[in-house]
Order: sequence, then structure tokens, then C-alpha cells
Amino acid sequence: MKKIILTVLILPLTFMVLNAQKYMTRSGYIGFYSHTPVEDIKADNNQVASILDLESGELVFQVLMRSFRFEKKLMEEHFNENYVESEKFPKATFNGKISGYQGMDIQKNGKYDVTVVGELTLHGVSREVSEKGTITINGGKIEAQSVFIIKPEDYNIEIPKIVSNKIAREIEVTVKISYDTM
Amino acid sequence: MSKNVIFIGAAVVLVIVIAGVYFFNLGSSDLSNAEPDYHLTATELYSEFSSNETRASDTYIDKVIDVTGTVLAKETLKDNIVNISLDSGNPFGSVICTFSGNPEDVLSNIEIGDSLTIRGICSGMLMDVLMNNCVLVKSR
Repeated sequence: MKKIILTVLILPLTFMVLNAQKYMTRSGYIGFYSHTPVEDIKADNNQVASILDLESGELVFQVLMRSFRFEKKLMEEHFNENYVESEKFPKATFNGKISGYQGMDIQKNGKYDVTVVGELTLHGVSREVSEKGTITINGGKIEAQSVFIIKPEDYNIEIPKIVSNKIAREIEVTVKISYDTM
Repeated sequence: MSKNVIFIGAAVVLVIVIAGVYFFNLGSSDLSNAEPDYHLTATELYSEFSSNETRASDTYIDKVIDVTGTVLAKETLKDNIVNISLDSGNPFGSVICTFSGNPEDVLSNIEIGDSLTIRGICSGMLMDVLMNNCVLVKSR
């Protein structure tokens, strides 16, 4: 009995030590922007979950499609029901790592230009992607930023012909994450 | 004759504008006057998702839920967005409620440890159960 209690008490401590280099957020930002001569569409998601392992350079994102907020509710409905089909595919995920990772010191302020490679799964389709971004360490805090392009057709997202002139073939995605210690 | 035409023209424009505003707001996401589909505690809601995410997703996603719980954390993001975390009783996750609109109103009313009821639309679960379009129902 004593052994069990001891193990239960010590376990969370070891968990904390092992994860000393892991940083996470539950309120990361990912937004996307579609520009056409006819219409500009913008959506924001402030509930992105992400973990960055400063030791290994591994980076994980989980995004709930339903958490993308649009200005027009009708657009949000179309987005969920017709385009990304969020009932079938509720989450988008990214599993990857910083390319050529040499390690980063949380104690040293710095700005790093990085390339992140990994698997992006969206609308049930997984693709290997490689995108550029910056990681900034300032006062013990970590911020990751990236802007890149996603093509809906790469992920079998069908845009009906009727609205095809209102939705861009290339969507600009912005990622802005502030990480805290786990 | 021309005065009548102008008058009728103005009336038509007015009707169109009013109709436009009405239909635009029909899609408005303000839940203050909405009838909740469910009343749950944060503990209950989180527990349902963590024990059977598929079934909980079918039941609660896109539904208006009044969640009652204790404030664990409060975070103001840029863009006038406030995230309030309600204690789920589970150390690995909580119920995160996102408020948009005017964060000062929400901020001034809410403190960590407060017990309150938040109405929002359930979006699903990542590490936490996520709620959006949140409004405050009542503070105790």
C-alpha cells in the first residue's frame, strides 16, 4: 500500500521533469484568408492546441474545424457542411518537426528562421508538407509564426462551380502560437 | 408627380435596408436569448467527452449548452477574444469557453474561482471540450 502511494506521488514529479522541454498551448491562432476579385473571406480559430518539444524540435498541432469563426454565419455553415465536411472530419492535425534541428535554449533570446516538415491531415487527406516559419524566444517565452498556402483541391475539398469565383484556389494560412511550459 | 416618385423610391430603399439588416442578423450568433439544448456541469460535459468522444460528439456538437462550473483560468487573446476555462475535475483538460465581442465586459465580471453558468455552442474536443459564441448566463 505504501509503495502504491509513493509511486502515485512521485509519478507526477517524474512526468514534470521528463517534460521540462515541452511547451504547449490550447489557444493558438490559425486563420485563413481567401482573396478573389469578387469576395474576400477570412476565418479565425483561437482554440488551436499545439505542443512544441524544444529538445527534439517536434511540433504537433490539433485544430477543430468547427472552431473557425467567420464574419458571416452562412459562410461558416457552408464551410462546415459542404467544404470541409466537419461532421465527417472534425479535426485537422499536423505532426512534424523542425528540419535540421540543432536545439534551442529557452534562456537565450533569439529569432530562428525554421523549416517545418511533417504530415498535415485535413478533410481526411494526409500530405507531407514543408513550410517556413519563425520561432522567437524572448524572456522565457516561445512564439511560432508562419504564413503559407494551402490548396483546397489538394485535400479533396470541393468548391461548387456556383461559388468557385468567390473562393480562391490558393488559401493563405496564418499560424501564430504563443507557448507556455507544460 | 416627381415628389411622389422620390417618396416611393425612398420607402422602397428603406424597406430593402431594413429587410437586409433583418436577414443579416437572422444569422447572428448572439446566444443571450437562445434556448439551451442542454444544461450540464463542466465536470459532466468533460466526462462525457473523455469517456466516449464519438457519442458525446454526436450528442453535443453544434448544440447550445449551458455549462456551469468554477473558473480555472482566464486568458485574453488579441482581437478582443477571451478564453475562460471551467474546471472539469480532471487535471488533463477543462471546458474552454471562447467569448468574442467586448472582452472588458466579460473580464470585469469574472474572476478565477467564480462559479458561473456560460452558454455557448459546443465545437468538440481537442485536449479540452471547446465552446464558442459564449455568453454569460448568470454569476453566483
